[in-house]
Amino acid sequence: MKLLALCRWMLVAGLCVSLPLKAQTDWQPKADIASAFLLSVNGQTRWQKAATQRLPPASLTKLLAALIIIENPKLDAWVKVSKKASQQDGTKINAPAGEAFPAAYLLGAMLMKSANDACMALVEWDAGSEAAFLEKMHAKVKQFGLKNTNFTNPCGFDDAQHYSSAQDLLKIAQMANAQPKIKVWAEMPTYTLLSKTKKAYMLTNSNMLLGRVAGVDGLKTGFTQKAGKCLIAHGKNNNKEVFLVLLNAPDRWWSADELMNRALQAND
Amino acid sequence: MKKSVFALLAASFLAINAQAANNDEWWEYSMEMEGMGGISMPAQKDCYRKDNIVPSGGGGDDCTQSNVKHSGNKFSANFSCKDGTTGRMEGSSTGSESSFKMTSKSAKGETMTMTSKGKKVGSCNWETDSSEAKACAGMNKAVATNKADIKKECETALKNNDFSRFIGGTTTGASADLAGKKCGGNIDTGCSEQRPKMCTKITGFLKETSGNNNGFKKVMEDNAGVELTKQCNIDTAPPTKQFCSDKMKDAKNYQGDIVKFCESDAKALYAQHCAGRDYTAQMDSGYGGICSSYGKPSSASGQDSANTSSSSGDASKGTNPIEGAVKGVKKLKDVFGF
Repeated sequence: MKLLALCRWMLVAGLCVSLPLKAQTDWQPKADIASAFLLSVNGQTRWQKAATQRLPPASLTKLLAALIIIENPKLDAWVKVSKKASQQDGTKINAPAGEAFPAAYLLGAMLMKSANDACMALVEWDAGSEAAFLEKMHAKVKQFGLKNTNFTNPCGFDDAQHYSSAQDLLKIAQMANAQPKIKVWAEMPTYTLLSKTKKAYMLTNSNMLLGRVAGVDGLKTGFTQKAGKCLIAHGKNNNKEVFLVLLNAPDRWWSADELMNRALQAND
Repeated sequence: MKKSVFALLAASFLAINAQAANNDEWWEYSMEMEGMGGISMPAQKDCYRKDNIVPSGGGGDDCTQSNVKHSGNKFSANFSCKDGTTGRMEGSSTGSESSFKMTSKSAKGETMTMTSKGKKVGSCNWETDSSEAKACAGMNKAVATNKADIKKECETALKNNDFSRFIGGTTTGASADLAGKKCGGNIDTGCSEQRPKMCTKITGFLKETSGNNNGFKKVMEDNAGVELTKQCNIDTAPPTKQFCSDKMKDAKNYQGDIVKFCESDAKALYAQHCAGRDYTAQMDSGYGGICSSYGKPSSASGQDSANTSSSSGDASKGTNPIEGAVKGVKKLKDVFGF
């Protein structure tokens, strides 16, 4: 408030040209907004905390899984939900075992809703088994040079050896965001998925920033008891592209709202 | 609306195919829908049998047809469904190819157009080849062999407070259709027996309103939990009042909870600390959470977790959902090519 009052007075005096810029540049996020965070603007790190620390990433894991799945040339194939897939814990579309969906559209359930049954069904369809798919994930981790990442399951469940870092997740997010087959789902607010038996499944994007924070068009949410609330947000305006990674951020929507707004609106 | 018209579409597609069917036949068909969150389906194949066809009575229990006309290889009818949806369908079949179009309007005035094209691709045995027969066989086998497992799962769900397992008493959606109507039984794969115990637990949880991770939030932040309070006939107003009273004592630290569950308190705080202020002033007020989220669509957590159950959430995003959905479908076609 003092800053604003001062600014108003200076504006009257014609002196307030650079003050807002300085205010934005000096501003720093509070350290306690997350266990780790990283925000980049046009590829340059703006704000960070513990960006290389190994932490559980929850369903942010699914972005790497999605990068593998979209390499499958048969995304128009029907994917049947196995018993194992239907019995996954956590967020699901609750498709019964035997139900089938087009792979490309089941990817939407995995990314928009973060559905674990959809994730496991695609994993099994793509690689034949969870173990085989994990091999692909390990290869991708190596290919991308992710030094602080190790995934022990494809969908993001807690495990002592399942971890990543904000820095590595930013790399994954940048790869994923560049893929139209992922992006189209990441930015879609709602969708009605139709199964082979013609049952409709309502998908609502779990990213609460969509439609609420100007410029934000993705990317993935995550939550487990161990990981806490996680988020990768992407936004852009005429001259900026912003990525934000939040790991274990108790107030992730508000924190992300503030950081994305400040990053996108800053006059630099 | 969708459930009704989808059933109608399926029944009517069969009706069209029936025109020239002498044996069970493999048919491959594709479907597109515009409006109401449009859908485009890749070609799918299934086995249909001639005696399953009801040329003038499709739509099951939910819809009735009128002005039904069969002329040569053409078929048309108007329809009216229990949910207020009305519309018209038209189709034709040559015995080896068929096309079908249905336009509908819901009670709310939402319009939808579905088109389907099919072609015969061979002969089959419905009893062994059809997806419907396979699904029935699979379900009957699964339920018969897994009763003990289901009970065990329900006990675990009760222990772990997995609310979603206790909603409803029988299978839902496609499974219910198969179990109740087509497979000759009303199969309960839910945890209805243990539901009273879960209702008792929920009543206890709702009384726990202090602190951050409390029983009240455990129930009310989970869509399945909220649904169960209704099915258990639990009045959530008194515990909500208690919850809000607790949180308002330390409002700055419980802004998220207040926005989610305490509408009148959030409104008052917004008026006091946010209204008319610019973004920076709002954030500096100490009530940034209220300022940035009050008045916007609900942002209940638990929709994205690997460890939390959820069902469909708020679809509102402040834009025309139908327009947005149509744009989305077009974009999907561009990206995936089907």
